[in-house]
Amino acid sequence: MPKAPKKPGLDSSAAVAAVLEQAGYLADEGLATAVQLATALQKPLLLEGEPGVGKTEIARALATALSRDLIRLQCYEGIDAAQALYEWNYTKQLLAVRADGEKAGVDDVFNERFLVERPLLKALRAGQGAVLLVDEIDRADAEFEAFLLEFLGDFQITVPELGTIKAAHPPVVVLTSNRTRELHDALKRRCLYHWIDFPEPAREQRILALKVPGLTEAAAASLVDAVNGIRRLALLKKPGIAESIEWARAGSVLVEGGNDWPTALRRALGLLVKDQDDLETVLGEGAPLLRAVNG
Amino acid sequence: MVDSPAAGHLCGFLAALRAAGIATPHQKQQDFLQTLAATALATRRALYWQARITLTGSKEEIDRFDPVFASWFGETPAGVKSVEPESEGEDVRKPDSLHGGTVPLPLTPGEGTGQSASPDELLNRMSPRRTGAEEQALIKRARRAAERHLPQRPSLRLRPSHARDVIDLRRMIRAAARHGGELIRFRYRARPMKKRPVLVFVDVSGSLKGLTQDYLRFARVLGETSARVEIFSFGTRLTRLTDALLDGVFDRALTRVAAKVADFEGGTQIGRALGDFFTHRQYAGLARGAVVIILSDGLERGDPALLIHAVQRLRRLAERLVWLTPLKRDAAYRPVTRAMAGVAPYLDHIGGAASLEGLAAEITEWTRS
Repeated sequence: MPKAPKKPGLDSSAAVAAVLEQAGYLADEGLATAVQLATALQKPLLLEGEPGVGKTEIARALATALSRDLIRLQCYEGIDAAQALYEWNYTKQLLAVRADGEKAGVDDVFNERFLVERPLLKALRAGQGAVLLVDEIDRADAEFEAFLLEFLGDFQITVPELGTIKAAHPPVVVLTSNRTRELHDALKRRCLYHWIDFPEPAREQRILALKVPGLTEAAAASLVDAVNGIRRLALLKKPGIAESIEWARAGSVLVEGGNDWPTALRRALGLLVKDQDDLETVLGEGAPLLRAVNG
Repeated sequence: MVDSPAAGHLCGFLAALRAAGIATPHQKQQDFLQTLAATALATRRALYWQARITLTGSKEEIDRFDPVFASWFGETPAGVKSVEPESEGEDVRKPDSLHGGTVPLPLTPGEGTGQSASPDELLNRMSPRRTGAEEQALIKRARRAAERHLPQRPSLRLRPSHARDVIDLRRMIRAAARHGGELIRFRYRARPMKKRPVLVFVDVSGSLKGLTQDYLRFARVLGETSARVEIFSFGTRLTRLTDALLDGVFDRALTRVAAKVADFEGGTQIGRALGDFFTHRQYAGLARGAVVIILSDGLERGDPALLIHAVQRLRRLAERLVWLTPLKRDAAYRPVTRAMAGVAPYLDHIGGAASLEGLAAEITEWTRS
């Protein structure tokens, strides 16, 4: 595999973290190391973690940081090669076949001119110019993983009619999974793996400060305490970072409107907790946590 | 290059990981060593991340990785948060049984701890019975019925078919190119039917003594028939049996199950056990659109409100929710206990489960839509 020309600024985890921070993403050392290794070893990076801890976001930030295109493949049950790898342009083929009549052979219509790029093929051809995000791979069925193996292992796709298409320079590939099912070992073997945890309070506070302009330091600190307290309650779905950002945003809007923090946060609670039973738990057991927030 | 004492230490480390149950395939080891060779290692912390990212493949593996790393390279670096964030107030809702732990949860106050079987007693108490010829015949019958009747849904994937669902242009154009551009015959693709996921909860509490093994046989039959399945046992706590029960010869699988289930013939706290199910996101998702089967007499010793709550949740997710109880021996059975009366409105069907024969015969009843 030809070595990719070294991108400046990705040769240590601290450098990766700095580059990502410029793109608006605060990565901890583990995630920064994972990204660094993914680019250095040219291997796909498989990210798992609770929903809302920034798995999808990291791909977006990486694309921005490296000024590359983000190519996203959202997985779902029943997704197949035609939607993920490539498809033939049947209308064009049909017209070509009708126009050429007798002369047209099978080979004439199954060539690159008639090939429609789907995300994986597009990423291969873009190579260095792209960050490929394969989102929520656990939603696709197990058979689909098999389609991915050739791509993830060798950065190539075999089209039966054309042969093998290989990337000149492999793209950066990020896969995410919510662990609704166990992924196949063959897939995991081809990837680097990182589990993204909820951030430690100091980092979450910095994230809030970055994402919610106008939030005072004291408010951010007590919000983070409240969110962490709520995560410790027996909830069915613990709020992720995405939710706490939304909550802080809504809260600060309501505070500007003249509410105090506890009232504002109680009103905006639907943005943090999205399950009726969990809401009741937070309003009951979690009430002291909300009361403690102040700006 | 690494010098030889260091290389020896690394080999030992990799071997220890394998011994701890982390599959470190050749490819992953190569990634790890390549990383080591390529980067100037500054700290133990950096080594920790490099090793963890290249060598592990799941959260469970990370949990096993940390102690091994600590013993080979000193403590897990400070500032690295333990992967399991839940520590307080979680012990009740998150039993370790799903992760293969064997320490039973404390029972609720009022129930003596003698109610829960210790793992030592266990094999005596659930002594797997050999499957006899008569049972084999029943199993075969149940399997045939399950194959024919378990609810299905159209697959989302299109396959070449005679059913006229979607025109298969790819095949038609291939044919047209061979025939000078003439479209001679239509070809189609269609969505083949596919079994819905199946989720089985088997009651292993004392009141069902003698029936549990038949229930496990039945659960296995359902598991073999459907492509996606999860099987759990519950008494006072929830234990995931899917892998143990579905692998290999049945009688041997039963021995494995016996070793796993620590609350066999103990009390019954269905509500709490089913509630635990929802705290495990990776399994809870399976209930969506699934056929959920609960094999239990519904004699709840805990708070019926918990049970009703859990069943309501299942109702909202499941395509079909079926409760099979040994108490329903005849048509006159009515769910009268507080727990059963509470959940009955949310069930699609309450069926009998007094024997393997009854279970096999009744599949057609609860699979009918």
